[in-house]
Amino acid sequence: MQKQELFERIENYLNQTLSPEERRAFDQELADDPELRKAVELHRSLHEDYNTGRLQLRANLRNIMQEPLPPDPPPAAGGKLRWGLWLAILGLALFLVWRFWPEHKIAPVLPPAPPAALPPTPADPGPQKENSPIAQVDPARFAPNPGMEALVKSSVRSQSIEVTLRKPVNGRRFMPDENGVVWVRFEGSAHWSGEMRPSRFSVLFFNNKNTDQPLLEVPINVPAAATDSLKIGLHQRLKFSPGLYYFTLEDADKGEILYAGKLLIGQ
Amino acid sequence: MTTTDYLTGILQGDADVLRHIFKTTFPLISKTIREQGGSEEDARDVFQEAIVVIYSKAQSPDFSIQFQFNTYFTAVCRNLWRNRQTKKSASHVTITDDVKLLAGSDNLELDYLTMERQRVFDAAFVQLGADCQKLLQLFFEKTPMSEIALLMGFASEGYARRRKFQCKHFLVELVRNQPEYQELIHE
Repeated sequence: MQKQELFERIENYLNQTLSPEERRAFDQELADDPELRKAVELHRSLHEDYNTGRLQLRANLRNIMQEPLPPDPPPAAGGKLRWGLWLAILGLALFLVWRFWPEHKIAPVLPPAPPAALPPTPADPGPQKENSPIAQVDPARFAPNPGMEALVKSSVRSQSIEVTLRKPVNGRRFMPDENGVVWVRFEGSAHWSGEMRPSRFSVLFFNNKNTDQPLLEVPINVPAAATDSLKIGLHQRLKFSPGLYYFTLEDADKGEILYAGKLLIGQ
Repeated sequence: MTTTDYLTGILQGDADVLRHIFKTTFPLISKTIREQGGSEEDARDVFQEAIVVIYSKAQSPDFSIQFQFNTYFTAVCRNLWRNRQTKKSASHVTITDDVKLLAGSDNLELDYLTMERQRVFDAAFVQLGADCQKLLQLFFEKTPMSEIALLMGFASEGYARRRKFQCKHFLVELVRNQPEYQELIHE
């Protein structure tokens, strides 16, 4: 009974329905009694925290969260493999269409491209092997690769790292100098939050036919000072045959594609 | 589904909207949290708290999300998980710049103590019997005791007061006995 009276006094105090004398007396008790202060604060928070909508929301969520879920998404590293597999299938399909299309049956078959160039460092890109002589310009080298085109067009690739590239403008054509060299400037930024900090990015270049094997991989190290963002500034020397090329910027730790673009070299 | 559809669905507790959010975002949230040392249960807690945070925020007419809902929602989950791991003793949940940007507002600091207190309250409240829940709902919504007696089918207003005291006493004890409450009052 005593406790019930205490509860009602606290409620009347909080509802401001005590008489002035009762309120003064209660204030005095509060000043003298830390346990009473705790009890009043607890009652105050009970009254403030009650929310029918929130309780109902939690009840709905509890029920829904007992329902079966789709399987786990594949690991990040698997994402790259999956892309590779799809691109390989698409590439094979495209090759078969090209190979057996009546118009192409009479076209001469070009010799296969030599092996891809080894990745140089950004500071010293070094010479890159050409993947075929510059003189032999083949229109097929400019044919869009459907898988890569889809990747270039999609805008969101990562939940954790957001990459924006101002340069090169997507699809820009670069004309090689007399030595067959072009310089491509990459400018932009990458943003991430806290624990998602990558240690290294990679820019990978592909030709339009073989998107499984990059022609060139350029690492971009993330300095320790870059806690949540990195300004990307890369001036890259390329010595590729005329043609259509794709590039991806990837989180090298996870192999996750963060950005994809394309560029043209020569006519 | 537009961002407004999501927010309206959350505010109304629409089961279809909540189910859609759960099925489209939870696998990734769960995977991320498990990769960072958390459990499936942690992921479920974070998911539920993120929905409640957005429910609380969406009650303000100024609240808006300028990006895709799922992008915003997973960012809120990431923040809640990070805060839960590192800032249990802090007084505020830090909302990092990415979430501020996604929400289109800088005024998104969440009162960590209020959020935790509400979580403790809700967890205690659902442990009460259905009658006590109904009675206290009426009481907290400031329904007069005479009307409560009538609605609950009690013989008298005096009995309604006694039952209200008993139910509230249960609730107080349930709240006090939660470890999270002890942590809160010692902060």
